[in-house]
Amino acid sequence: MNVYNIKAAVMPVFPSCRTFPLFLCALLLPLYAAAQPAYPVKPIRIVLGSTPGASPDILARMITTKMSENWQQTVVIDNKVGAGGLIAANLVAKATPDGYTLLATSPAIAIRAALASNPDDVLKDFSAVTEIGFSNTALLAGPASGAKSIREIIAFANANHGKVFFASGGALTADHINGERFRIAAGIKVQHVAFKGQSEALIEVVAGRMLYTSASLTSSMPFIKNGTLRVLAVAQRTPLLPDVPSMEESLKGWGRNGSQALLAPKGTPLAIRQKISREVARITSLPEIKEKLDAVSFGITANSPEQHEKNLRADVAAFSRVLKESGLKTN
Amino acid sequence: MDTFTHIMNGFVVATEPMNLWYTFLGVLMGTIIGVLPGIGPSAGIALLIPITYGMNPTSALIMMAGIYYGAKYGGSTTAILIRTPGEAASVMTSIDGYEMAKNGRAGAALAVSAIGSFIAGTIGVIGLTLFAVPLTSMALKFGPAEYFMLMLFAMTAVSTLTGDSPAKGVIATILGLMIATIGIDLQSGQARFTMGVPEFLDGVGFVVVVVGLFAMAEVLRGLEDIYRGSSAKAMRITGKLWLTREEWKRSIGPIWRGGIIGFVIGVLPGAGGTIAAIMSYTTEKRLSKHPEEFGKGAIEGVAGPESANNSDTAGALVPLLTLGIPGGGATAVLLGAFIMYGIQPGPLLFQTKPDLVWGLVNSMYIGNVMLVILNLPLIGLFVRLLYIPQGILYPLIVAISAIGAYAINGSTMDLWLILAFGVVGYVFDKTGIPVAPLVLSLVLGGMMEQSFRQAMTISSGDLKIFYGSTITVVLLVMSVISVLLPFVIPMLRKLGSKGDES
Amino acid sequence: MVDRIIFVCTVLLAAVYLWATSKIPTLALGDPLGPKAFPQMLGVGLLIGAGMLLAEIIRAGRNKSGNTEKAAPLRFEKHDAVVLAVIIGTAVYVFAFERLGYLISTAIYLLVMTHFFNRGRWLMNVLTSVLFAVISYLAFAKLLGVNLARGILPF
Repeated sequence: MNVYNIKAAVMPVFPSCRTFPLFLCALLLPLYAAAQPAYPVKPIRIVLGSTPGASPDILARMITTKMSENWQQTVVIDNKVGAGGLIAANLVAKATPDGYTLLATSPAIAIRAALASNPDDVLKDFSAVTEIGFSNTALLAGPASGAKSIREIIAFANANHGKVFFASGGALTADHINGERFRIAAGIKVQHVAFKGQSEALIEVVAGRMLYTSASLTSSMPFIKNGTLRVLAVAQRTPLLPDVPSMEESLKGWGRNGSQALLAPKGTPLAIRQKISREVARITSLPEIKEKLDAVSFGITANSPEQHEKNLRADVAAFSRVLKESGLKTN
Repeated sequence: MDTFTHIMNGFVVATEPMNLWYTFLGVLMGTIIGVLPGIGPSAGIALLIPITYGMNPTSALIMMAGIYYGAKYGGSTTAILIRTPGEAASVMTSIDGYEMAKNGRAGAALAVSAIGSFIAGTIGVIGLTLFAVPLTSMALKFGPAEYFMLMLFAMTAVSTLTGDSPAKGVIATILGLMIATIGIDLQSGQARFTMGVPEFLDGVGFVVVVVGLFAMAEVLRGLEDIYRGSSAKAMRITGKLWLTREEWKRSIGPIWRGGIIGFVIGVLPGAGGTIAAIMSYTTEKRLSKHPEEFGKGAIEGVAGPESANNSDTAGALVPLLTLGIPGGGATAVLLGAFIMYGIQPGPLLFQTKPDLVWGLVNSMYIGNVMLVILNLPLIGLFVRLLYIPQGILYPLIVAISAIGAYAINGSTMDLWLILAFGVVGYVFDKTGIPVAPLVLSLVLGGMMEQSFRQAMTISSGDLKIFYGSTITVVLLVMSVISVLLPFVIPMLRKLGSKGDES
Repeated sequence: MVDRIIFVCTVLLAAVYLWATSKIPTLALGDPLGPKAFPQMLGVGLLIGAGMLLAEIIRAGRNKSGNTEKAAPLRFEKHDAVVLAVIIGTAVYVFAFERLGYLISTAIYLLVMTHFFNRGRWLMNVLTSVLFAVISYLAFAKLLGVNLARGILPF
């Protein structure tokens, strides 16, 4: 999952190129790039849907600091809080597509697209730039079931058919969708109950009223450490918990959570988007940044605009299936 | 690690120079906010939330808590000198305190307020230290059904206890609940009552409503009074800032009793400082050998209520820290501040963040010492605030509110809402509809609906879950009692006037 | 009289709210109660509150029926006009907040308000208004990095 797609980044492909032999593209590329105006020549604004100090904000600031050092340009973070990122997204959708206004997104945008009757209603205003990464997520069980593994919790759920529940920090959040994905992949019957925020959901699992929940590794670590919660699987194997399998290893078809990413207004030149994506890849591979991200269990998935676009579409399609199967999508 | 070690570590945290500084800043701002009529601790903390982004959460929360309990000290000053409670819970102080000032005993009234506040405030913090942890172990037993019943109790208590008209209390409560339903529904993810405004998807911001209902409404009232020429003038401090031996003897009993009453009332969600002050006042009047002096400058009538409303603040932190349930407006704003820092108060907080909790609790011991210094020898400085021309003060409050609200979301929508809720608060005040139930139900409303539905999901739609455990039954009984109380009290009073029981 | 107006407003509000509740879409699955049940209860609850108010009005009327005292009629007085003017003035301030920016709109708002409510003290009013706007802007927007509308000013 953490593979940095070298091919796609080194050989950016523009649409007309698909039919040409690849070497021709490689020859033409320097000419094309030379014709591009220099970027960036003025301050870049990254619009963010979360409050200052929240983890997406800290991540964005980590990256923009390095970006502005390297490019000798101001990169400002503009927090437009509200409506799960919708206000920020609307703002960027209407911005000039020149690469100077970008949107930092969370998996919420893929969920919103998956909910829409036509995902393009949400995605048509944006061009992909790059993924950044994802917060490592854990599936956690409490004392109620005594389950120590995915197999045991499935057995417990089957033995208590229809009488068990799973908690999330809110309907249609990434954690809710993750819980539903586990339910579907495991073929068990558990009813979803939403609580306000991850920490309330965690308390319900600790108290034994809820069978399991999905939450970020960072916020659940205190409970894992003091033994009140047991972690059954993580999105990505981590040295912090060497014995815990990844979700995909433990259950086929579990799928991924989606990631935090950068989007640009539709029509932003590919060359600019590629330049940004290469810069993000460079920054996230710096040792000091990597170290900081490891400390908060953040997996890096920086990639090319093309790969990002593909992954985003795949996420939306996968989420859409989950939502339909869970009865959360009406159309 | 045991609790005792945690408490000791908390003292280390609380006495770090940085945190001492923020404790001081907090209680200083609290005193100022308390002295100024109009901005109460709710609005004060709310205005501070956006400014403290990025600060160390422990220091920020220590400071905001300082505002919360510091305001209760300052509130008495205004009550005594202008007969206007600087803070709602000082309403009883404005009766006898002002009379004392007229009799030339303003100094004694201010002194007994500060000393009583200090003693009772410390009693409250000791209570908080002793009872918080035993209560957390009980708190894990609070599932959705128990939470629902607890909030139902809080709501019934407030809506019937405040104001003379139970009907208006009910209307205000339900209006608050209705506002709370605006936004995305937690269980289904559906948008409700958003009227197509994307800003409403997150619900109507609590801070905005509070600033509107309290600060903006007070501005409208205040400016109207200036125009009518009926705005109150501040009295000068008369008499020594200390008590005579006789006054001291009369005050010590009310201070202790007030401290205990305040703490107990504070722990009960929904009651709050105002009710604690009223309870203490009536208790003292009943116990007094000369009840006829009450209302004409009895020092017990200042000592008791002022003590009660201070220990109430520590009491109110018990449900906030152990259950994550705010008992009133100001603690609700504090809860918002916790959440902004990604900290969910609740039974696990004492395990996951012992340094923060105990640092906060222990800073209150220190804060109370600082407050008694600020409010006794230095009171003259704060009184000067009362001589700022009100025609300047009120417009400034509007500008300060605008800064606070705009800084949170960067949207003028919030400024419009402040103005709208300011008008609502003004109209409510003129028509005798109480504001407190609306605020409380706005805070609790979202949680109340969600825990109701969570409980119904768990029980597959069986209402039995709401009287299925000891806790729910106890809460149900208490809710019923608090509904019946307004009808029972007049009857008891009739009996009391004939017989003689206390 | 006032209570009667409150009664009518409450009933109207309950009706609008119940109507809006009926517009919420419902899901096929999800929790047994769904997003509509609680709002419906609230709508009915508000009607009950209105009913209680009506009972209070009738009871009060009966207690006073002997007296000739009819509740004071509502009249629009001069001080009501002042409150209305303050509301309008503040609305203009909000309207100008992002357009002109915090600094200019706040200074103007404070100047106008203090001019009316703190009459005759020119110097004091001008000084407070301008200094407050400038200092608070510098302190919040520049020093603490709080987001305040910049407006037409370049800084």
